[in-house]
Amino acid sequence: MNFGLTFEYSEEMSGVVHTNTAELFLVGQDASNMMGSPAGVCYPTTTAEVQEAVRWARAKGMTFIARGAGTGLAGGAIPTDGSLVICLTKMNNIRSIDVHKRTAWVEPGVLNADLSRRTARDGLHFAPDPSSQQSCTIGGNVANNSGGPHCLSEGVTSAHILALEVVLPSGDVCILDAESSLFDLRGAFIGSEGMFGIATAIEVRLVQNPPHISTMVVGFASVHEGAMAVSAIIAHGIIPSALEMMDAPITRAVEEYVHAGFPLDAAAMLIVEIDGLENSVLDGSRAVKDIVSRFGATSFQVAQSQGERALIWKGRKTAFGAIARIQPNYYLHDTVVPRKKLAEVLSQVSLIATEEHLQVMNVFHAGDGNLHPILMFDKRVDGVMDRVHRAGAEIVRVSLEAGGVLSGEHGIGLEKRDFMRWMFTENDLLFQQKLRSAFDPEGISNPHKVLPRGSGCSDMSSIPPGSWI
Amino acid sequence: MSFGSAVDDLQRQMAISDAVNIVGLNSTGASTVRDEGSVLKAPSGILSYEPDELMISVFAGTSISDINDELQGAKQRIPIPEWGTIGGAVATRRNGLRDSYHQTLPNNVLRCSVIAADGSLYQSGGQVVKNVSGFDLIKLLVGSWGLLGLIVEVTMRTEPIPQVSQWVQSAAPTAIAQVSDLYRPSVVTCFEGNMYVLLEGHEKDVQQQILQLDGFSLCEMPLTNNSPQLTNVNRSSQGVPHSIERAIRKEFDPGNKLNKSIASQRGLLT
Amino acid sequence: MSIDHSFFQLVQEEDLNTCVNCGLCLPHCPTYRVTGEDLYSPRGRINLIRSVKHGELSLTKEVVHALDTCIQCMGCEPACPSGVQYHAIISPAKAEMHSRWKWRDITLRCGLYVVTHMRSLRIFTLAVLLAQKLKMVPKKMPVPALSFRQPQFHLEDEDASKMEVLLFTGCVMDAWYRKVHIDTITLLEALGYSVKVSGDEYGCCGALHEHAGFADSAARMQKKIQRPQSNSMMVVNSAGCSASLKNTFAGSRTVLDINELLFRHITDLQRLLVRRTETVLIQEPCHLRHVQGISREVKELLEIAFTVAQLEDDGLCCGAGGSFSFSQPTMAQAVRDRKIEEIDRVIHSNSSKTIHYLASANPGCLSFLSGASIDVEIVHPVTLLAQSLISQNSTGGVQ
Ligand SMILES: Cc1cc2nc3c(=O)[nH]c(=O)nc-3n(C[C@H](O)[C@H](O)[C@H](O)COP(=O)(O)OP(=O)(O)OC[C@H]3O[C@@H](n4cnc5c(N)ncnc54)[C@H](O)[C@@H]3O)c2cc1C
Ligand code: SF4
Ligand code: SF4
Repeated sequence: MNFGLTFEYSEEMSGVVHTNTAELFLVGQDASNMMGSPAGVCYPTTTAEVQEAVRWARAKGMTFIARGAGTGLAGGAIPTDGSLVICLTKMNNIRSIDVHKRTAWVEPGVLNADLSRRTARDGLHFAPDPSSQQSCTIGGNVANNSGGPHCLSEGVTSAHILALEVVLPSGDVCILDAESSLFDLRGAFIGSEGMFGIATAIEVRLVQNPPHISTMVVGFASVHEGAMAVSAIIAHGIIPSALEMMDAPITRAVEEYVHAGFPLDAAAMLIVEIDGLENSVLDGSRAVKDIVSRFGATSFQVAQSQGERALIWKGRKTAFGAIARIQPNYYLHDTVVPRKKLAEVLSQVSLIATEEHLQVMNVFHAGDGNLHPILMFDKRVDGVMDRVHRAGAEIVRVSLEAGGVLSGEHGIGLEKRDFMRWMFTENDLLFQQKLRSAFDPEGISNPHKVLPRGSGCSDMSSIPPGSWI
Repeated sequence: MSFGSAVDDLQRQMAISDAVNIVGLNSTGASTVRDEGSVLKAPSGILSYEPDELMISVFAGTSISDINDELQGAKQRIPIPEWGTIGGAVATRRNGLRDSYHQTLPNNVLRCSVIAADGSLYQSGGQVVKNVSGFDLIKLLVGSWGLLGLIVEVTMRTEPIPQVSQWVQSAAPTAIAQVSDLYRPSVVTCFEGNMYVLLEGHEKDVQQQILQLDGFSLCEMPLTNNSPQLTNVNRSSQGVPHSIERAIRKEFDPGNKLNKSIASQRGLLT
Repeated sequence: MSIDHSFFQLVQEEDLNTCVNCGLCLPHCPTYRVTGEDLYSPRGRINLIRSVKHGELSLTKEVVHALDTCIQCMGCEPACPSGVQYHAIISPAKAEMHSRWKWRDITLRCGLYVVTHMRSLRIFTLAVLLAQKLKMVPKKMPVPALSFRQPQFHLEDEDASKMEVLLFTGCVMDAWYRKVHIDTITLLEALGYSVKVSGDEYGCCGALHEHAGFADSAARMQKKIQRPQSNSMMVVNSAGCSASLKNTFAGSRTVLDINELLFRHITDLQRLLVRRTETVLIQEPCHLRHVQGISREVKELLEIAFTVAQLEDDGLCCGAGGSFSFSQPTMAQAVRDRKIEEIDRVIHSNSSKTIHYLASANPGCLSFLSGASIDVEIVHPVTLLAQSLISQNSTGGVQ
């Protein structure tokens, strides 16, 4: 790497910006079904190098896009019209851990699970735990304001970020924290999907590992009963640390991979975890047991060891991947509905899939009403993509009709950009655009994402070609 | 989205005014700084409350004590000290003692509806507990001191009232070390040389935690006046972040209509 | 540029299709870990092979490099929830590249030939010197005294009541780590086995060649080895070789890695081993953990006699990878550096005790790691177990 050159000298940043077809092909993709068109990719290792890359792109009249591990599902990391991809995976140092204050400064390329692994000895962890946590970067978590099973009680990423060091689209670098401004710019930056600039260092809050944990796996004879039990648990005033649901097909697929002892005969299963101090865990799990049996639980197991618990979570967290055991492609949705509407919306989703002759599976964060219906298909089948998109749009529609929202954790990216009008008025979108403009007046940081095309909201320019394969 | 004639009227007034002072119950004193121009106040009243969803939607002018009275019946609460209006708490980022410890307020606001300087209505968030649809204007509005619009509606998370809430205090030098061994106390704060800790949860757990502490005594909630004063808000008004703030102000209130004196104190007149 | 549509036709569509691009394998890939680049990741490599095969991408030098730098450690395979059979994708792809450009790997072919065929002291020493130059083996490694005859192992008289096992002695293992063979025999005999050795008759198992993509030479070597009868057992103490032999004799349940066999006798060993005070850190060879799924066995065996410490890196590869450290020294050393950092972290963490040994059940890892500076003794777990036999420790023992 000869990043040492300042951008005035490095006309081509030769050797630093890679432009070979193979690499561009790969960084043009993430975990979504989309394909972008990058012009170059570079791997800075310091904040100054990120600045240099941004300035270089500006000088060239190019747009740029931050990339973490590329596990995003909404196409947030898909480069559009010749962006420079600034990949942050080489900025992966944990700069400091303050065990007493329970904070750490990390670089954006640190993998989510690596941080918790490093702080485990001190009894601490980083609370946001997306299912992709072993692979995704904390920078990506910040950009998408990611959630995870345990965000039900812990709150999503933004609740765990204290400060950000950011390279702005202007090329300036600054710290966004509680002291740096009256407005909470740190909060505004989180969830901005790389459109407000690039996070180059992140101060995170670390939380204490719970002294007691009870992890329960409950089987139900129908999805409906499982969903009703979820509402009842919340209504009872128990906030489990996690409350997840998996339907029968996904349970079977996962069980084949992890052998966690999931109930294979159940139509739906819940993973309910309660953690905290001893008596609240005891009482809480007792109450959960009562409630689920009222809703006709067909099986009830409690993890007996840390090993069993780990296996249950491994099963839950690798669930999406296990789908390929059934069909080669999947389209994973992410909408949120009020918890009391879970049962109703789930049955609508299954109707939608039947109508489009698609298989659907559900594995999701039931406790906060965050649905993840997964449509499975083989993209080599003629016309299947049309059916998948139609079904996807319908799922969004029924979720919104039930009083829900477009996305609970994966973000809008390219995927849901054109659905934004279904949820927001033109004026709502205008004010989102205003916020974007304050950070990025020229619209050069990750253009074309989030805000829909037309009426002055989106970045002016063409639609990314070949957004869908 | 319409909130009825009260809000429609406010929108009209906003649109025709050249200068607007936004007030709540003036519990912070911030809104006494009156300039010329009209005085606008969000309506009050509860819009919807769904105990089973742990969520309440209210007009922003509703007082926090009225909200908690409503929640009491379902053994729920919003953990914000009971003075002033919810709109005022949101606008000044007032969390009470929890503020320094857990950032509860920004994370508990789920939706805001706002009358912008031009009189139009905009909304961010939704009536669900998890949401990453679009940019997060809520985080920006929490602590915006009326500079980005008049908040007329707020949807909040509610929480079950814990079985037991107990404050304890100590002036012993070992207090800090002891407290850091506690498992997630609700509040830890230092005030006049004393350390105050709020323990909440299951009765037996709280008892055990108290036993675990040495040299602490039970006490009432410390009567600190930590209501946010603009003059106390220790935030920078220079540098790159400040220029972003100014850019935001310029976008949201190009005519410098809203809370002029606050804006000028913060160097946010554009 | 014209695109060659004829590449990778042997890679099956079904295998490529199970990859959904989720990226869950990324952190389990040592080359992605050290580069952070998609090009050097399992997801990337699968994607490249697929796209070249489908004619969407040409086989550029970057694609070739991406595939060449795959260590074939198979760390990605157990990590993949979709069940992608990565070996079924990479092996034919590599083999195809080698068969198309034979000249490209001429030095590697020669190197392998020397290491796995020439049993003369002269050439062997040369090989070691060469390897030392290439930092494959440590400078301080003593060149073991070699005998030209079959090793003079002390075999008891034929005893019909004793279960017979054939120890596969292999090539590198026999030449450089003969002590491990002796220790293996000591242990097996203590457990009541009668041990025979395969020696020159079988020669090398071809794992190194296969791994490097020389399928033709590997096949030639494998022919020399007889499929073990269903009533006999072949035991192998090199993880790379046991993995390879299991594959060669697919379906045969009579090829066993030594750790598997010993684990079957764990209760006997609890009786036969003394408790020692030292702490052992386990380095898990990829071919044991990822390919054969043998992991807790080694730990539980060592725990009989030692305090055991473990690395926290999910068994990421050390970079040795058969002849990988020879053919891709830059990547191999970067991967090894990461491993050493991880080892150092455990050695120097104040919470764990002093680490006395680093145990690895594969000759490749043993020698490659010995080439780096680590402040602990690097040994094969079998050696540690054999040293802990009561019979070896009490006075008047078999010493
Ligand atoms: C199997 C699977 C399970 C998943 N489960 C969850 C889940 O439970 N919850 C959840 O929330 N998500 C989940 N996701 C989605 C995804 O993993 C998360 O959104 C994750 O946070 C993305 O991180 P990344 O490093 O891969 O980012 P990328 O995909 O590389 O990028 C995502 C976005 O972040 C931007 N970005 C990346 N780094 C920076 C930076 N340093 N500064 C500014 N912008 C940046 C990019 O421009 C892009 O817009 C899952 C994905 C998969 C494949
Ligand atoms: S190989 Fe498996 S884990 Fe890796 S991207 Fe493909 S499906 Fe995901
Ligand atoms: S075999 Fe090893 S080096 Fe090759 S892609 Fe898989 S994990 Fe990476």
